[in-house]
Amino acid sequence: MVDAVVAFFVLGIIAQLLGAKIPFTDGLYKSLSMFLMIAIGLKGGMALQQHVDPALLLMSVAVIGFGLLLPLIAYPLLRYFGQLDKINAGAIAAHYGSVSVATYAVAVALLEANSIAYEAYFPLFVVLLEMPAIVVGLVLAKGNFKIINREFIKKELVANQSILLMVGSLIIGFIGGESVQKLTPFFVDLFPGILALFLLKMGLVAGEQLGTLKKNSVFLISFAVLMPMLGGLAGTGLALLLGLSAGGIALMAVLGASASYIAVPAAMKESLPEANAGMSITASLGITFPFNVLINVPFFIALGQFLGV
Amino acid sequence: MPLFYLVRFLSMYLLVTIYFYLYLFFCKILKNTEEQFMMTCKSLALPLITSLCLFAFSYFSVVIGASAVGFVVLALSLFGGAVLFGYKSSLSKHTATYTSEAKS
Repeated sequence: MVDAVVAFFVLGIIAQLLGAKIPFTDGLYKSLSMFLMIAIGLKGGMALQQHVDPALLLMSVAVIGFGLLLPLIAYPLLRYFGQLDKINAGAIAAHYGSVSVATYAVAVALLEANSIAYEAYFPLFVVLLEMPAIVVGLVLAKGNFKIINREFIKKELVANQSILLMVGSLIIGFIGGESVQKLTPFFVDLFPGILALFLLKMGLVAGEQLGTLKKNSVFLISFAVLMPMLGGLAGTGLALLLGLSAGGIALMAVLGASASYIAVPAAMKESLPEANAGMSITASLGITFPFNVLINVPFFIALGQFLGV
Repeated sequence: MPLFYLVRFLSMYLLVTIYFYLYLFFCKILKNTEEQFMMTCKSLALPLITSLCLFAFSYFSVVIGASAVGFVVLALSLFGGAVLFGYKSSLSKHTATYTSEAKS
């Protein structure tokens, strides 16, 4: 049986393929993304307040290391099998080393629907995994570390929208105490509905991207399906090493399997304007996102339950 | 029990071997020159590896009690699509070579 929230994604794809004109303004889409990032951070902060874990520092270092490793798996595949130049290979590797907040939100929704517990500090891991891949991708593309300067750090690390909203709301959820409860009717109770609307829009966009697949090589489709499987397995391995719960194993695998299509494209547009953005977006949004949401996420949730027992 | 695991291992080994020989077979029939043989091998390699991984995931899905249908359908579509794409591009290269030879 397909989850109701995920079904909206399928509805979006069908609507796009049938040519239905569903009005979805850019402003609404950005507002829904903001809501998801704030809600995830807030929920994480509230839960973290009740379950502070001293081992979190070491886990965070391991997760950052994982974020640095993922693009190094993708890059040789892109260079050898895809015959891509360093710039495009570095850019696509950065997308696949980073995470998709939407895929994470879908996994969380499925875990909660099946009453599977997971660690409260996962939003922190989502934030930590956003950036390392961008740095590695840029270094691989340029072949040197010169791109990592003060302006880059300020723009991409400190002032990045996704990181700022998620870290900020995580801190608010952590220090807010009782007053945060006033926000739960909006950010917690409405989360599944807002996610469904967001996935409807993602379905429309993914359906649009499917049209461009005819122009792209079989290699891109193969890579966009293989890399989530490899990343997911690597995430599962890390989760087992860290001793996470069944839900934690599933979420770490999903973070490894997901590819960014919001934060990283914006960073690449600024730092690597010569890279082909269409190829990265087609792979991460047109192929990987539907594959993860419909097939990979349920598999990793089942795998987490199997290994977590 | 050991016999059961042996049968499982042998069937997986057989699947990989069949896959590999199918891969070489398609590379051979799609080539026009020896040079194109290497290019065809390279272009079919990743779809082959990916569809093999998809079959492996479908197998593990059955073991852990998840649905394997999505993985199997995707594996078959991907490999079939790669072979078809390779055939079409080798056909167009063949036609281009014939046309340029006819002109000269």
